[in-house]
Amino acid sequence: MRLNIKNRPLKITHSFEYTFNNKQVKISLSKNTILLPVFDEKKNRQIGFLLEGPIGIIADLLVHSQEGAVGEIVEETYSNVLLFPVKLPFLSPDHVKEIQPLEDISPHEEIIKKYRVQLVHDEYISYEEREGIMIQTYNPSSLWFISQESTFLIDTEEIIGRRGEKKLFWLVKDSFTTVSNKGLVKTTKDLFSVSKVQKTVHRILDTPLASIFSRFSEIFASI
Amino acid sequence: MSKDEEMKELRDEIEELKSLINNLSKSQAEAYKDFDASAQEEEEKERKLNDKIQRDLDRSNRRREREEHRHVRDPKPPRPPRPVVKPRPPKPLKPAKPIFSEDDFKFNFDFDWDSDEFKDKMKTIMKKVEKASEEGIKTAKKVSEKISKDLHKFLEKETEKITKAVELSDEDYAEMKHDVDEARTSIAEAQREVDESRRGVDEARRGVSSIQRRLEHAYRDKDIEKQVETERELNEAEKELMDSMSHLSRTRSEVAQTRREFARLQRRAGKIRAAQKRGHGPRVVIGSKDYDSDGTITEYVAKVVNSVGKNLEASLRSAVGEGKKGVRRVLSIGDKADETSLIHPNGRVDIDALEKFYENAAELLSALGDKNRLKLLKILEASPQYQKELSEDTGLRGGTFKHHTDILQNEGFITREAIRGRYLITQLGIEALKLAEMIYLREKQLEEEIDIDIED
Repeated sequence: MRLNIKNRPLKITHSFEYTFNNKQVKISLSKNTILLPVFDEKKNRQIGFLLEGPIGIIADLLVHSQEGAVGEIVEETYSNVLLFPVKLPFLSPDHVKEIQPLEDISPHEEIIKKYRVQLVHDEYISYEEREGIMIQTYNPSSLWFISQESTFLIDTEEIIGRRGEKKLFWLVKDSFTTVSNKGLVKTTKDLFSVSKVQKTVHRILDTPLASIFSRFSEIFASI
Repeated sequence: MSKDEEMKELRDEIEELKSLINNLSKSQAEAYKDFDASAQEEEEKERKLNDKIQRDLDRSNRRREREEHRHVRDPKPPRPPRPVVKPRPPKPLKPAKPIFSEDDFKFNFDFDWDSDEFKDKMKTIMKKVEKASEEGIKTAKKVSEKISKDLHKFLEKETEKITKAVELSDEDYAEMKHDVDEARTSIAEAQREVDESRRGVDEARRGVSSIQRRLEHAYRDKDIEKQVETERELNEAEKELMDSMSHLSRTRSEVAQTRREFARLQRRAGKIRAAQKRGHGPRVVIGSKDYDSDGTITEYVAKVVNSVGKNLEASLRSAVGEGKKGVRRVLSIGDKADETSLIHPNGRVDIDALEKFYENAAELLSALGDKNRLKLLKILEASPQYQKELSEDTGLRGGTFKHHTDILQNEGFITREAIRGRYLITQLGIEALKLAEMIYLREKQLEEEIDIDIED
């Protein structure tokens, strides 16, 4: 999917913080941050926004287990991100207003070129009808998936996800930890297993976003 | 004067009188004529005026009538039936001009073949033949021109139709080109991956052979420890080799699949290109399947985000074989152990080198050295709690509560959520609590044993 931006900017009128419904993630947006609509060039349909300006994300990616709290609190600040989809829960007329077109849009176009996004409809994934948003960053490259129940961070150094109140998986450089529904913790530091998971994750991260979704089942079914 | 002269004079006078009378009558007639003309003119004028007035009156009457009966339109008078035209009798066909007259073929066999008459006849016949042939050629030309014109028109129409059909597929063609390029890059990537895996396999093989060599050396030297270590290494290396080989085969199959896909795309793109070059060719049907779904991106992202976790979790679990074979080694996570070793290699304890241990352990134990803090840990062991609940359960409020929670937080026994603000016990906190419980239970057990001894 080729991305394209249009010179119809929105501006954040005042700084604010927004906590998602899952009570796991809070984002903070500052005043004068600009949002440019991102279009799918082929279909000429808006699919999200390019956010230019600092965006802070705080996520409670930790759960209570039989062995205590497992996971971590992630705090990140990014300079520009892609936000999907168009209906973002935190964009309301109270915080955002339309402004005059920018004089020079070329730097933003350069930024958008660096993102490679492909949303491919996939039959393999079973869906649930719930709201969710996706945040993609370029430098450092990471992906956030935030839904009604869960939060996932796919980073170059770690991959961590929390589902509801109890479930968690956490992959770092040399260990892989999971917490089950019953609060049981399993950690492996067996490098063979960890490297296997790491390889798998790297293969996902190397592929475009579309493939992450579409090839999930294929990639993992073979392992 | 004689009579004759008198008569003559009289006659002359009469004549003069006659002429006078004539003149007078003429002038009178003219005068009458003038009078009549003016009268006629006036009459004419009056008549015209009357006519005009009459016409105007008629017109106004007609208009009034029309206005009065505006809604009632007179039906049109029926059209008189068309006169039946008798079909013309077909024109009698003109009798075709005979190219050759009968006389042309009337030969007298006694005729002299070399005579001039015969020669003239032959000449006329030849001329007629030439004329006929010319006419034939002309008509043939006409027919062929007409046919070619019709054919050209038909071809033009058809080509226009086909070119239109091809033009429609321009977008598709561009998209196809893009897909082909993408497929090409993905093939290159996959190829690179194959090369990497191959290299990995080679390396693994080399590693196995080197370990085997080392093992042989170890056997030769009869070094048992080394033998055991090397055997373990060998096992691991072999496993790694098997893993990388399976990865290689998998990647190979992926590459083959991508190649097939690429070839298909190329074939399709080639067809379209050829069609565009020629302006005609196979009709390009725009693909009914599209990469993007018909649903909105919003719904799609929402669905994907929700499903991603389940898949990822399941996949990662399957990646380490959890649930099927079980995790190979289960270790507790947490901070890395203090690098200062508590036990010397020779079995002796280096007392002076443990300053860090003394400091940290004292701080940790001092954090446990309060009943309120132990109570806090015990409550949090069961489930995470908000500040209000904790405060109610422990009876600590305000500054005191904060003092105790800060100490526990600084030592890493508890942590606090950034968003909801709940307190959670950490793994270190659980271990510390267990340690305290263990010491307490051990002490209690000792006391009971002593009591029993005394009773005995």
